[in-house]
Amino acid sequence: MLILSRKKDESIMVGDIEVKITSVGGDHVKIGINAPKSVPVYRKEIYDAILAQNQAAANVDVDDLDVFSDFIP
Amino acid sequence: MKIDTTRFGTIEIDEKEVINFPDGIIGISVNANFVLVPHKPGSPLMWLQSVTEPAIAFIVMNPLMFLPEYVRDVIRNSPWRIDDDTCGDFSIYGIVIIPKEDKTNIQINLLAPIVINKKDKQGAQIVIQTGNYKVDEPVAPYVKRMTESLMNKHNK
Repeated sequence: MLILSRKKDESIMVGDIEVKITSVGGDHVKIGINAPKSVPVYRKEIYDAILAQNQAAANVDVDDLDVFSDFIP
Repeated sequence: MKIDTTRFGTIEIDEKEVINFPDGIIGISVNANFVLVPHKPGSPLMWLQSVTEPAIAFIVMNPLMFLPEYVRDVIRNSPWRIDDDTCGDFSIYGIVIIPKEDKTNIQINLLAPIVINKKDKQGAQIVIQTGNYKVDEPVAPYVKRMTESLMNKHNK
């Protein structure tokens, strides 16, 4: 992993995406990201949760739907 | 065109109904083509079946049927420009999860819904950064609320 040292209000560019350190305090860092709207930006834990849920959902069996057929047709 | 699926065998689909997901679906496939297949007549559930991967299919449903205000959050977080005039050009689906350990606890992913542009057949899984939606929102409370509100309307 590339590691760069930056001070508050300094940025790095990832392609045409700007990643800026906007504030630093203790173990808390605020990062501003300037990216085109077509580039999705999310926290890693959110990405991981979506990934895990998608993989679980893609494995559904047709029979699983019988369980709630009276609840949702 | 005919496509192979592990759940439904070989099915005939209209080529014009194929939906392209240029960014794929997180953790599943990169650039992917899917097709929507109704579960049963009268069911709100649909299958989002991969055209190229027979084993990949999701159960999806439109969350607006029990959560109409959700459309605002989708519009705000969409990569496409959606407004009140163009809203009808888009379909919104939540991926449904049936946990293996408790199949009655049916859940819907409201954090990352599937949005489909019906006009150009482009789809995307977007992330709703506003609100406190979860990937595993239980469906039962919403359905209960919807049923109660329908009953109240009926009784008035």
